[in-house]
Amino acid sequence: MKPSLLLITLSCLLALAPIEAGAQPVSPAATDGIASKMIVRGDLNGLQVVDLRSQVRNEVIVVQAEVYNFYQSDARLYYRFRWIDTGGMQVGDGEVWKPLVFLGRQTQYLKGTAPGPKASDFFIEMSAEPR
Amino acid sequence: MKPITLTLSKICAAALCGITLGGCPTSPPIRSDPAMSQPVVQFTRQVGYGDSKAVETVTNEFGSTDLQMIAEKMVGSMLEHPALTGRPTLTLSQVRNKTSEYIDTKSIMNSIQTQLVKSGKVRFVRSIDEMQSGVDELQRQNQSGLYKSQGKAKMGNMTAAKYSLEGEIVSIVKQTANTKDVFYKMTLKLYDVEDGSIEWQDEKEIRKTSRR
Repeated sequence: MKPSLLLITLSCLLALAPIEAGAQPVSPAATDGIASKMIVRGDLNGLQVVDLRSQVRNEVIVVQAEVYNFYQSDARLYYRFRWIDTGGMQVGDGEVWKPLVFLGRQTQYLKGTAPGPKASDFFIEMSAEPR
Repeated sequence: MKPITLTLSKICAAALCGITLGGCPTSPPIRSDPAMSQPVVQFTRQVGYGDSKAVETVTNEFGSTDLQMIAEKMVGSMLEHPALTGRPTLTLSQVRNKTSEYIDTKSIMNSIQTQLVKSGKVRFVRSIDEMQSGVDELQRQNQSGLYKSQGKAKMGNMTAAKYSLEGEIVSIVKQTANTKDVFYKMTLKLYDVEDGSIEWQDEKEIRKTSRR
């Protein structure tokens, strides 16, 4: 192999390698059921929703998502809840994106409350970057 | 060895092509007249509309994201609370700004009020600030002699608030030569007007750190 070709090959392999050395790619959701409630923008940098639960309090849906950082490195998550009515239409104007810093191997809980009794379903929209 | 080398070369070439093609901007649509202007008022400076729900980190002073996060947290917490069962009447009271910055606390309360009203779980009645315009309209209808009695808003039928929303926002600022840390804390309380007890209370904390 020519030296220039070898250099290109190595560059390509480095570009395609995961950010964290030796880290396995982490799925954003622990199960298919959780994945069905998520809208994910690209890779979540080792973050995964490991538990998702919801209940109705005072006629409004309250959702709690447990998120774990599988990497040693810190990550910054941006998230928001999208609330849907029985007809599949979005309720309200949409939430603000919320930033949340995860230290390596840290668990955090995301909590969302529906904007009113009209909301009958939800999605969690997520995007992450290395801190 | 040769077939492996060829395979790797092909992979690299394909990857490079993909990167190159992905990096290229798409060609603009062809217009019939390139000098044709768009219906905008535009100056030489580049201005673009952004996402009003995006996270704003231009400076570490109190910003739009802080306001929106505070309003969302407070509304969510209040909606969960059983005090709002039965669609009670609320009124806005003062929110003290104890930070070192100018913060329009009325704007925070307006966002909270808007979201609560849209939830359909509460009714808001006029606050002290909004009372005078309501009284003026009632007096105009009842005392000016200009209106027929049918359809006229009668005096003495206003609904009183069962609860009053009060709060304060404070900040702690720590600064070194190259780091500034600001900690905001907004506290909101729902008072029962009749007996003065606190029916609901919550806080929202925000930390913002900037480095030169």
